[in-house]
Amino acid sequence: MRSAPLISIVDDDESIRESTRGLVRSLGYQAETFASAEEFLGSDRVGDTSCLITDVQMPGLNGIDLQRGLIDRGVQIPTIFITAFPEERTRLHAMKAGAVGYLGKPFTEESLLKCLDTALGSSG
Amino acid sequence: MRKRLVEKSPSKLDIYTDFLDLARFPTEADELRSAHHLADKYASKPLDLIVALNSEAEHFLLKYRSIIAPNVPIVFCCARPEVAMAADRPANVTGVFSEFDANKTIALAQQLQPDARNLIIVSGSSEIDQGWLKSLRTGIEPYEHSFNIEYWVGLPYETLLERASHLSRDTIVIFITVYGDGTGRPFVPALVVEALATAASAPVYGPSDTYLGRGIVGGHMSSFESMGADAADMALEILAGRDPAMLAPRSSENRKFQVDARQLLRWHIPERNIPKSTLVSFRQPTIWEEHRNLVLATIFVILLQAIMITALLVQMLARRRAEKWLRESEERWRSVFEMSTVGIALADRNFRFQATNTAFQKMFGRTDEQLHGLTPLDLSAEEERESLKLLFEQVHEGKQQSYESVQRYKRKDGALIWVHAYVSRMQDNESEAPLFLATAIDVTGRKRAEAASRDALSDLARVTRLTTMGEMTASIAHEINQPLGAIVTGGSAGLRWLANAKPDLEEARACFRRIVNDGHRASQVINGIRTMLVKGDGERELLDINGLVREVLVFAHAELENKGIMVRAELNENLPEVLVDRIQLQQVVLNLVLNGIDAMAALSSRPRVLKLRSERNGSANLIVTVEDSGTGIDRSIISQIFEAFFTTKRHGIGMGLSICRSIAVAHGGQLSVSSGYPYGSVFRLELPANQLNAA
Repeated sequence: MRSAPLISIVDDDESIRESTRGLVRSLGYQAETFASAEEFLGSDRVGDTSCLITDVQMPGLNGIDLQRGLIDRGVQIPTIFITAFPEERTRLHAMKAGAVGYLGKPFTEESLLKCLDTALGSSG
Repeated sequence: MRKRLVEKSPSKLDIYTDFLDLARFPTEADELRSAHHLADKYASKPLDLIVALNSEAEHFLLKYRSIIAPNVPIVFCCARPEVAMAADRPANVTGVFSEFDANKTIALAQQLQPDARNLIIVSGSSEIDQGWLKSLRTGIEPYEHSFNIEYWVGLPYETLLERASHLSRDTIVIFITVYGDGTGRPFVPALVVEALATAASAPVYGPSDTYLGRGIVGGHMSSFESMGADAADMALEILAGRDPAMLAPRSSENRKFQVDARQLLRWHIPERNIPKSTLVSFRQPTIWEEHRNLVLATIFVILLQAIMITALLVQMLARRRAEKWLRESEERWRSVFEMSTVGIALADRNFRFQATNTAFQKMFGRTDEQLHGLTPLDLSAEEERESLKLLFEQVHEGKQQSYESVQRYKRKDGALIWVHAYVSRMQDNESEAPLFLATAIDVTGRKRAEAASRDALSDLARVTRLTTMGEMTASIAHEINQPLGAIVTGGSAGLRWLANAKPDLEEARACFRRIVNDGHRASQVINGIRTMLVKGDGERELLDINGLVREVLVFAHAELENKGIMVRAELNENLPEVLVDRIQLQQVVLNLVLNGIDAMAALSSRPRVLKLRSERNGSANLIVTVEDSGTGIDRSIISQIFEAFFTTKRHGIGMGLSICRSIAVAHGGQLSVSSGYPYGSVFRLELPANQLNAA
């Protein structure tokens, strides 16, 4: 049986991290959480990740830095940004760099689903 | 002399006067005939005394005394001293003689001719001549330094006259006496001096009164008058019975300077050179003296005419000058008006242009004819009209003498221009209708530059807003959105677990546990904010609320101007101070002002006016109101606007007024809102006055 796609979640806020993981899992995907961009980049799950959900504002490397870091390494992971403080400029930047979604918190279930469908559909 | 005799005589005297014309009848036969005539004439009238009035008369009387009146006493006057003192003088002959003072005569000459350098002393060669010359030489020394002195002594008569005719003008000739010349011929000095003075090319002076009237300028000499008086006194004494032999001839002491006015004229000697107390004889009566009244009347008439003519001329000149000045002034003002780079327009009471200058016409892209009759409202950009009308009303009703505005106008070609205008009201005295003078400066260029910098400023203002109120709301948003986001996501997940064909209750329970926790967390965030505001991080200080309002207006200035909003501040200057957190209160007032600006953003049907008022409310409170003329707040939502997250703005987050009210409450005050009349909203910030100050 082909295992469910792995969704990696990066957010410094534990509530968000956990609730997002819950939602992703309730949708039938595997979920792995990381408290920071550095933690994710240092993990062995980068290659397995089918889709990345990351916060934008984080201490240390932020979501945009993480996206750029992955591109620099030649790793292409469909990425969904979530933020408590949406900014048009950041959104544009992220979307240009190939993001599949940019969601303000609180986001609706449907908007996340749509983004996940886009992300996973494009990858296979 | 006659006068003196009549005055002083105790009894009445019969005085007879005879004139001897000896100069014209000089021969011995003439003299004899005269002598016999006189003897015949007075044969029947025995004479008591004879007076000889000059040297010639004396000489004649002495010579023919035996014929005319033997033994009658003779008193002579003006006799030559040598005759008077002669040893063979008859006993009953006495009188007054005059002595010469040649040195004082030189002094007179020197005063009359201050430029003279040569002095010529003329004297005869007879014994008497030598005597007078000697007395002159003893006193000549003081003059030796001032003059080149020449003595012409005993020259032959003809030589004397010949040499005298070649004298330079700066010469003084002093004639003493010439009784005999170098050839031994006898002369009468008075006749010699007459010939000399006629021939001489320089003024001649002499010390004897007998020379006066014979061509000399003058001299120091006895006067006929004083000698006449002296002689009259002698005559009266003799008549009173005094023996003439006991009365020795006396020298006249009354000598003075005398001059001949005709000679002064001849030699052009100015009268100002004449020493004081000089007796001037032979003065020509002037026209003035002869016809004094006529001259006076004539001069008066001429003067009167001259004055009238002068007055007319002066008046004419003055009028011409005034006219010229007026014309120049008018030209000057006309050229100031025309050449001015500032636009100038005159408008009537209804603000209709009556005259405009070139700069004004250029500014608005219209000719003077096109502008005539238009009002500034016709030129104004649409959105400015309402506020321009308000300004008009102010000056039209006389509430203000003038106004100043920076507004947009439309040129004929449709281009918008910014014009800085000063309009002042002038009272036209004649018509009583007010006139308006407008000066206008095109500030479009400046405005453009300002707008460019304002965009930068506006960015800056936005940043500033973010870093204070904005940053606060941003961070609040983030803090609240995190748990909210978690709650929503968690809820969705929980629902999912329950919606599965085989509901996973464990997973769902975990979700709902997290949701409860996140709800508590959100509540804590809100409590934290409230606590922070109530405590106030900033220090509270005593300050003047008006100063704070003005600071806010400075912050908001660019925004206000950019949006074309007129600010009316009515600040009561007699307010107690308030004890507040300056930054927080600034945020409140700034927020109210920015809200007001936003409320008027879409306004075009009426002026955008923001009113700020500060006043007292009883003794304990003071109130700041911010009133806009905007769209107002719908009645249905007015109760909600202070609630958190309530907003009517597209991009608002609905925290501003909520926080403002929290700040007001934290200061022991209140923030409320009501509808403005007839439109707009009124925000009312009430603060407790500092009790120490309020008392």
